[in-house]
Amino acid sequence: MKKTIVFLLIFLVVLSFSAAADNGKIIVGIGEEPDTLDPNQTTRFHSYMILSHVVEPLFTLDKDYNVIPLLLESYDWSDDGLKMTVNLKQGIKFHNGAELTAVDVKASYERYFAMSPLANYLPAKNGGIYQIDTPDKYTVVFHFKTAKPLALYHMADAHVSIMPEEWLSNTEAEKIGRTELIGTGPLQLDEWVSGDRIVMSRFDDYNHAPDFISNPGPAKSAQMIFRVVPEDATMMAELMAGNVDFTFDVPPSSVKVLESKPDLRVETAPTYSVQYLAMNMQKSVIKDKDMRLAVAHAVNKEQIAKAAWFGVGKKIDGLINKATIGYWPGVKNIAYQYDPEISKQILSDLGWEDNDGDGIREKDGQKLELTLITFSNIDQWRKAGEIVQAQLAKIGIKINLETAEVGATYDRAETGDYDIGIFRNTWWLGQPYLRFLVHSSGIGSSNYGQWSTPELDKNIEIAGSSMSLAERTEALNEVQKTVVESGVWVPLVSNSNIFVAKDDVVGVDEMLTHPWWPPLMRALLLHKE
Amino acid sequence: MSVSKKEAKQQVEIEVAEKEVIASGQFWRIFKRNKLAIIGALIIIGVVLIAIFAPVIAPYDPTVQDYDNLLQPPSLDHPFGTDDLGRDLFSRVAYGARYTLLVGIGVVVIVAVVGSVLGFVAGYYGGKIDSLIMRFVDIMLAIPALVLALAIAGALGGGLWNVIIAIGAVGWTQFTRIVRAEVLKLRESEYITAARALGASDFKIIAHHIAPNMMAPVIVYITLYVPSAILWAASLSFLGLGVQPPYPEWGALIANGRAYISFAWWIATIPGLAIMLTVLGFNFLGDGLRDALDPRMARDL
Repeated sequence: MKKTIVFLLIFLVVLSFSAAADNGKIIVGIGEEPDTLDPNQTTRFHSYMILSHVVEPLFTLDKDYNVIPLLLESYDWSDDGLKMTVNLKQGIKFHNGAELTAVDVKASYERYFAMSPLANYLPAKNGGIYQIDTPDKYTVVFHFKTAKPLALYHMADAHVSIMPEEWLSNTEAEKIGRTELIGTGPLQLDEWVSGDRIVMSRFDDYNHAPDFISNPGPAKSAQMIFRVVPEDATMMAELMAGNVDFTFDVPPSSVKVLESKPDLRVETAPTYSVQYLAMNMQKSVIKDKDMRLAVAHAVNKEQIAKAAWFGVGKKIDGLINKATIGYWPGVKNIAYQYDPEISKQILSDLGWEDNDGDGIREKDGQKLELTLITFSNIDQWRKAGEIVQAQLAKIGIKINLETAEVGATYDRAETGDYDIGIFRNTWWLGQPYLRFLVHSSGIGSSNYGQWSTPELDKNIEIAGSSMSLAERTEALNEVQKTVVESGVWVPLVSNSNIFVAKDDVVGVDEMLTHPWWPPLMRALLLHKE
Repeated sequence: MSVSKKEAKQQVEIEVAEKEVIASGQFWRIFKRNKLAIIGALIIIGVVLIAIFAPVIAPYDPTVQDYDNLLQPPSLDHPFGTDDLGRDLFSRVAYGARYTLLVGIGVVVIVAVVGSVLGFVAGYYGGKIDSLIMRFVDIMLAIPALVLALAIAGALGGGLWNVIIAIGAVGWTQFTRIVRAEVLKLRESEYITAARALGASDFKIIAHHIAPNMMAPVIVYITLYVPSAILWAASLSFLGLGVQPPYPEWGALIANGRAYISFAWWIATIPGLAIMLTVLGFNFLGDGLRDALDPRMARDL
């Protein structure tokens, strides 16, 4: 009897220990492995989301989209808007024990300007920062060539995060963002096993979180492990088996099923991600505005939101949606409404008729056939492609749907090797996003429609450089209006972030109070009781 | 010996003809006994009939989308359920048989024509041309086949005919080897030597004496190659390089259903079973044909 009790006690002790060990660790399922965690090199979403736990920019955004200081005590603009003086918070530690100082900020900004493919707004080449002074240990002075009203937003981007100057200059380039990453963030990088997992542990000296987060630091969970689970079906199985504590990477189709599982919590929230139809202005048939309008009126966005995004997406009217800074509500009044009868009328007026009864219109012996490209490896886009194909078939346009993986599809989009494409873009700030998509400098690359006008270019510039908010807003509204009216871009659907967590993960409620559930909140708050 | 050339030639032809009669009698006797081969033949006949009569069998248009009936499980209305765009899966699988068989047959035609011509030339003429062809075959075989097929399909772009070309371009090498080996064997046989001694032309020897005797191994190989071609096509479609939507090729159906496997198993599983059954049918038939046509290799003799 005694023996049994002793055994039982030992068993209980072992059990409680193993349970305690488990509590200190959160396993995050990620659908795509980062290319690199170097903030100055990557342009990918997953890389950005993961490196943001480790490194931090000077500023961050609060729940109302206001830019607030993160690594600094205060900042001050000169009256002409050409000089910005930053006073760093004292005592902020890097993961290697060094203190954050002005030279680290200077070195990090210079590395960002030199390396990052995303460094467009802030660098000197576009009228931005041409000189950085460090008058003392905690003071940084940024000198701008011209006034840059959106500078703060760009300085809140984790792609321009602060890393220690000494470490940057003494570390082999290929190690940065691969085997090592040193920042001021709440988690430090321990290990990256390629194709399998990225292990991060709590940084105990972290204590400078902004006020809108209840926990100033350090993080509540001792460890966060990012497990690479590239297949949707595998992710679902892992979630249901309880092997993953939370993830953002589940397809919209799975929301209903996951919601029915009692031990899982599923939340959705609108994002600033936009899926749209782009029409290639280099192609003769689609170059005709009437033809583009025929297509625009034949596309039923609600059906796409319902079937391809399983209702976890919303019909949108403009190229930037409600969750993005710079959204223009007036866009809903000018968007082309779904009405296939109008489309048919337009096509008939243009002389395209179906004379041989095969369901495809023709003119001068040419059939009305167009190539539609989109991504093959993401279910929602392939489906959106098939739905648009079916919708256009109803008005007599034959769509040859050509799907390929993301890289190959973007290559075709950039070089203009397509008629119509379904693409997506994600950014929370309207001006640089529209500059990326519709400015003439993007023709041949990010301007997939391969079209712009001097007027558009001018308004994009004003929206990024005018010191008057009213002027900037008006210019950006004008851009959004032109874009939709041209019919070159037909906004379709904005999807939602989907968040799935096991019900024993604590901190989810507070994280959901922020519109984007930022990595900083995730790292500081999520834990298991 | 005063037999004229003509008489001697007739004698050779009669002997060959008798051999074939014996062979075909034996063929049916052995083939009939092989139950698996009969099952295989029945499966293939079934698939062919489904492919031909798809418009009659299918209750719905396989491309019509119904957004109110997404991911419906199998029911009386939809015997195989519906897919992620509300399309009737039974109709899609039925129409899909067409693409699957078309790919299988198309590839085999390419492989058989290219492989036979090169194999005949290499085996019959030998020498430098033989070395040239066979070394090229060796080079082709040194490249991983799926990678090569992917590269070709990638360069040509997706689509049914491009898939057939891509797989055919990869598959002819084995066939060339088999044909060449057979030709080498037959070339040295006595009746060929006799025919040659009697002055028959190369074409006549190949067409009348070698080709008919090659039919057995060729038929067996073709039957056994169709399932590989079907699986290849399914792999390419699965990787997004095959038949493009909305056409319901089975491999593409599986690729589409993969994301839903944990809660809508039927979308990927049923086309998967269809592929398995068809491949099995061809393999059973191929094994049966081999046993029956080549008694030396038969297990039950």
